[in-house]
Amino acid sequence: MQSQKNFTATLKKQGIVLAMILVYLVFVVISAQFRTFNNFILILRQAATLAIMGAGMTYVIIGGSFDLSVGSLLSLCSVVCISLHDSIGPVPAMIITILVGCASGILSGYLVGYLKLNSMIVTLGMMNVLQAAALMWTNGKFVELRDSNAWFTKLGKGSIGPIPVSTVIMIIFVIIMATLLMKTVYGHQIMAVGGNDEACRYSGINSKMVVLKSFVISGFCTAIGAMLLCSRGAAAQPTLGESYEFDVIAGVILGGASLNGGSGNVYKTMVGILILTILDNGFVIIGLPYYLQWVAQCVVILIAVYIDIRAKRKKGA
Amino acid sequence: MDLKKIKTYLSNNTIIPIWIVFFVLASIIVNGFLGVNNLFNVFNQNAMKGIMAIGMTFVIINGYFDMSLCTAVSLTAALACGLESSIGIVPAIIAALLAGTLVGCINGVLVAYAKINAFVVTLAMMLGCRGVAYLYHKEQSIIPNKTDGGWAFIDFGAGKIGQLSYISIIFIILLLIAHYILKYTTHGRNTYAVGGNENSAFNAGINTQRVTFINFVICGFLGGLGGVLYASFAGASTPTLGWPDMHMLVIAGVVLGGSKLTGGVGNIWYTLGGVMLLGVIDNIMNLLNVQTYICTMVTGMIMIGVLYLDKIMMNKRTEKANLE
Repeated sequence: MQSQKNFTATLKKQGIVLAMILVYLVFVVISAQFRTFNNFILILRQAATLAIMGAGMTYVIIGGSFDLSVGSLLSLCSVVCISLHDSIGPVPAMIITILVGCASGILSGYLVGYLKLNSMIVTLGMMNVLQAAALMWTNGKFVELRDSNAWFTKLGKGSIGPIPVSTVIMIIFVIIMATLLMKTVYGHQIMAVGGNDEACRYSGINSKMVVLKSFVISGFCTAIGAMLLCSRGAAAQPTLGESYEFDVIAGVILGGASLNGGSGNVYKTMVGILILTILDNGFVIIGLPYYLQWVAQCVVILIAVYIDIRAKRKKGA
Repeated sequence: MDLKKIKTYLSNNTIIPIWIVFFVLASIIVNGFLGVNNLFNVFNQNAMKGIMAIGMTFVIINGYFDMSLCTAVSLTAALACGLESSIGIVPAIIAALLAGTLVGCINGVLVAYAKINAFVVTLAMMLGCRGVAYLYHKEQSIIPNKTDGGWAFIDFGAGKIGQLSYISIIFIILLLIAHYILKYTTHGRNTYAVGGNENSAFNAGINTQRVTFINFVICGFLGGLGGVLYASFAGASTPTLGWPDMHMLVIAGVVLGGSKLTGGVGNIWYTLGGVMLLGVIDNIMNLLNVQTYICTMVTGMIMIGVLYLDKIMMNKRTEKANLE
């Protein structure tokens, strides 16, 4: 009896994981191409960039803000990384890319955390600024590596045995970010700030700094995601990341983070993003028009969130 | 005494001093800005965005926002252009407006009655509308048939009375209606009350769910109207119309005007000011021959800058209120 209760409780808690398995199984039943091992690996490879960006976005959303600038930042980081790779070498290019990501995070974090401006409009403004910066950096042109087999491209294309390098990076990254959120002082602080900003200030947490750091984390994650994405194609385009921000936010929402701040989980965000990627991959493989996946995403998001809300309400009652 | 009154008025309506600064600077620096032709041109160009912003104002005063606008626009534009050949232009427009209203209804039901977070609902609806719009377009532009109805539809978008286009006239009429609704009707006052504090509005006996629902329907309807007018203005509809940031520009216009995203504060003239401010900034940079990339960048910076200015003036006001 007791164990059965425990079982249903965990089932409810891990509903999103079940949803992912369900979506996966539906496609497995429908399509023979979908159930190959190669395709399974492909999904993991496709999810890497989004999952890493999602880890950063989870922090920002837990802190009670939004970051709409990640799509443009992804474009900017990609073009910076690719265009500097040939002139100054891969490692300095990667370092500069990460610095660009962090700098953008510091700027929006300062505007949101210290000046207390509305995060939606600020990051919308940053989205314009960064997109323009990416276009200006390349003059609107496409950039590519001179040698498309340089070791840098192994980050996105290479595999360790059957498992892609980018998937390994994604998993390690997600584990680190999740641990940082659950086990460190900073993780507890960001949860507290998102939950109740006022109370935090009275208890001596520097909430401004905490919010700023969350934006820096998001910028850093986006830079890492950008490196994986552009190394996979050995090329980048200044509008590469357009509308990525909505995918990332949709993933975080599916993962059950509260948009009012205060709760969220990096692992679940990754599961949310995997659901979106499976839908994306599956619709293409079974030959349906790619735009139907957006309708499917709409339905999945609404159902998942509605079930989540009902479960929470019952718990409250 | 009078000077003091003016000062408080200006610090309460930050959009007015911002407008004056922009207007004076632009008139001095930019050649050709201060002409009747140019100013009417700016107004006509931004009238469609303004119509959508009116709907958004209702939702924002109510304390929510609607992200589904950007793709609802392309859906309704497609319906207006595509149905014209089979059922005639007037039924096609009505169908398009109904589609916009339906999107608003779904948003309203899910936000007001099912109590799902508005951001989630409207983001999901944004994806849904985008998919349906692509499905209807079959990934191609739709041009209205070159029949009488089709021509009349395109002529309407290009038509003018004097310097004002028909679309601008619709915009002005809608502004007046929206002002009347917000200021003089029960629904308008209820909207402010719900946006300010939903719990106390509920305790005061306001049917908060219905108010929120109606506001989302208004927003959906005006979004649909905006889409139809875009199609009529451009003479065609494309699946990418409005994507990816139409709703963001509209929300930015409303917020730059001085309405607060937290709800309860705002009026329709702020929205007019905010939308036209974005339009004027665009226009100034076009006249100055600024490169498009730099244009985008400057627009972004000005958005942040105006928000910051508004914040400073707000802080001063609250400080003063605390002292008094």
